Amino acid sequence: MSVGPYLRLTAWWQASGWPTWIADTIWMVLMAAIVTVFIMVTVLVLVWLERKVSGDIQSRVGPNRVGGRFGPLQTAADALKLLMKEDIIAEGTDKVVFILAPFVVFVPTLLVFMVVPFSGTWIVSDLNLGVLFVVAVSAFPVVGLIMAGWSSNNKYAIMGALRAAAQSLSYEVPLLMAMVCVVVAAGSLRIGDIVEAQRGGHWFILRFPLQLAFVIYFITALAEVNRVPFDLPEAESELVAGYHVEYSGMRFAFFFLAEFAHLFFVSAFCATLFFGAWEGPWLPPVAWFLIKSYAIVIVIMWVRWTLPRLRIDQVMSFAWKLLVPVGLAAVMLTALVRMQGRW
Amino acid sequence: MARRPGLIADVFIGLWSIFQGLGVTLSNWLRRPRITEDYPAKPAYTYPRFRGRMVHKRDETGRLKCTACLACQKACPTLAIPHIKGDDNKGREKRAAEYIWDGGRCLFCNLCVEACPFGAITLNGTFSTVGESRENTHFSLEEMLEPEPQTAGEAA
Repeated sequence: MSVGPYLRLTAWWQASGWPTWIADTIWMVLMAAIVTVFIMVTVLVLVWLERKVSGDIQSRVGPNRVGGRFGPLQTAADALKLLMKEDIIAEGTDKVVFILAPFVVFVPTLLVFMVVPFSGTWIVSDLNLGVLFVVAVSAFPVVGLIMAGWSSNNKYAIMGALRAAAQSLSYEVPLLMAMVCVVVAAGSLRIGDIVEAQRGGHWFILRFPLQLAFVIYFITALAEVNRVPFDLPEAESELVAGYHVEYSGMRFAFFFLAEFAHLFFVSAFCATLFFGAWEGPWLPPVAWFLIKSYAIVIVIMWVRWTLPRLRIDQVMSFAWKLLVPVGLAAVMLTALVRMQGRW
Repeated sequence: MARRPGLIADVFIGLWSIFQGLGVTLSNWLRRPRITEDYPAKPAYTYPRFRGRMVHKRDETGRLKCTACLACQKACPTLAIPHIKGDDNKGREKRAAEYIWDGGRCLFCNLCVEACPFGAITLNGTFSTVGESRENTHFSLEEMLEPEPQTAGEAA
């Protein structure tokens, strides 16, 4: 994953006389496989964690049968069940779009893991425009959601898809502003530089105007991953399941996978932007990164099992009337402090 | 009508209420033991007057109390006691030899217990009357008999 081994490997490859593109292709496929496996395992853990946390908060027990006392294999069993289910494509659907939609949702959530810094060297590709890449790619799943909702030919699905589109596009704006605050503070769009700017315990969460950015980031992240209190696109009590009503089996599993992968990404990126990424004492950097990410995931789950759902007009007015002005103020404040050369 | 707080006050009131809610869920999160019981793994708690499976009592000498007088069978409104048979009482008091109680039919009204002149039966056993077939919900005397009371010598 790091640059060093990659350069050494390509040098060795070129010395042996084979064309470079073969080595590049193998390298990329390997990286993609590693990231995919990591996401799969993470999603299994997250679903299990979600059930345990919800069980605890509701004073229930949660999964406690499959694979031992704490039910660690419950999600694996569920995934197996989803694999074996009948693949139903309803008659009135637009077949091509219907089949394509889960992948359009899943692939961008896979792509954003490219810039997640698991440690100083463990990052698939430290892009020059890392933050911009994240914003651009993580906004893309909305297209898939609209495809799913529209092609399903179902009133609930299209309601969910429209809500998802409206909500995601609205919350993209304050999310961007929160990220801009961090970028201004770090002075670079590269993830590596942002992490570097926080070295030595100078985490951005501890610097004055960036707490505001963190609050905005956290709220908009909840909306981006469609979780309570912003789970309107899949509000069970109103829309049955939202945009994925008509999906079953593995197609549904892909939506599920994308949702939880996105949840983890949002937490990991939050740790990167505000909590110093992989920095911490004693433990190896990867462990610190995972600890921080999972801590944020647990807080998001805690919020989910506490708050009720908002109304759609409340969601929209909250984004445009409150978060956008506050976000603008935060950007200006950060820029002012930066200009003054404080910190 | 109370005046609605201004926008900024509203934001902070809302934030405060969110943290209050998080506190409520946190207190539930940390509560031990949980309210939900881990039933099949651990025995469930039943209250003293709880009615469940029929239990046949023993007297002081450890002998069955039921004399097969059929009073319970007559009292039963749902015919949940289909079969009672006495033993061949050669030279001693008559006692029941066979007794079937149908857990699927019983509505736990306690009329049989009230009808019993000897106080031989109660309906306060375990609440599980589950079986895999209709016949499996029938319980025989051996299944309902309360365990042999241990004498002082045996217990030591």
